[in-house]
Amino acid sequence: MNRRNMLAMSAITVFGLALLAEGAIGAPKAKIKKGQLVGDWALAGNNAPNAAIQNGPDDGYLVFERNGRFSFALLNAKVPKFASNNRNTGTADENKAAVQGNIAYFGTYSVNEADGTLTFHITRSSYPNWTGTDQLRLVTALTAQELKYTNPSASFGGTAELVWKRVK
Amino acid sequence: MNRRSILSISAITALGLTVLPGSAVAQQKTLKEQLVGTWSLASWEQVMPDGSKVHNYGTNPKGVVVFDANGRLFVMFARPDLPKIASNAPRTASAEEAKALVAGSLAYFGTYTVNDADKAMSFRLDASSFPNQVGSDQRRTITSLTADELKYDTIALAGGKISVGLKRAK
Repeated sequence: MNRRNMLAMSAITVFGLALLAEGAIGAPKAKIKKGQLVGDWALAGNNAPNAAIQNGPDDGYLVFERNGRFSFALLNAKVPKFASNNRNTGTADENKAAVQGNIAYFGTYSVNEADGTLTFHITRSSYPNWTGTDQLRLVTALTAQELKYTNPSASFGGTAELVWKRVK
Repeated sequence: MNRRSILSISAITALGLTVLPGSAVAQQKTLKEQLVGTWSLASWEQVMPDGSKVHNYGTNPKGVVVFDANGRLFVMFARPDLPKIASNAPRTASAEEAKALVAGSLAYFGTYTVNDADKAMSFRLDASSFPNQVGSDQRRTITSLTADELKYDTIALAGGKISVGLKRAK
């Protein structure tokens, strides 16, 4: 096999693997490398049947740093503004919508490359029940441009699938 | 000029050249280049118009600020003692729990720009856990910046001046 053919084969293999990963929605064990995650990701879509307020595509941001840190936020654009313009004096309904529509956390992350799982080791969360916990995510697809994972126990109950696109 | 002199002059020149680029680079480093990276929240204090001091996130606040080289910004601040939700579900948080969580934590993301002449940053908030901030441009004035420490001031939406201290996360 000459060099050109080998390159073509490699390209086909990579393409094929990307296609496989694309088709594997809901099925864990996507092969992943920690380095593939590094960078910034914006929410592209989500499927969270039990969420009180569905997130729109621009409501999420996720940063994986090379040094092992990560930062995550889902901040729902549909949460109503506070009439008082002060979050210390929100009404019960305003506070309730904000708590239901928003979650943010940061910490460190680790990857089980063979199992296709990602674990968030949460240093601090706006949902304090998650502070100090490890949260497992099943990666169902990871290409240069897209990351999909399933959260098997979402904060609002049930599962959630999040789709992220790489930010340039 | 003998050979020895030429060698020592070369050595001095080489030394000079290695010293020069280092200091030149340090001088030319923009504020943005100095900001890029991850910072941990070290202090947060609001001085109200009447002079009273408020610590929204407690006196030992927790948080992170990420300035990406691509101009993206991520911020999260929280009290260390946010109350856990007894029902173990945000959807069924009690009114008291929701109030404490909203007042005691803040997260937003967007983009940032830096004005070197004014020593000012402008944060564009594409999303915020406090919805009144969504879409706003917020000015931050840098009061101190070293390799390991960043301090900035901002005018609070609800009045008064907020001073934030950050330490570079290793």
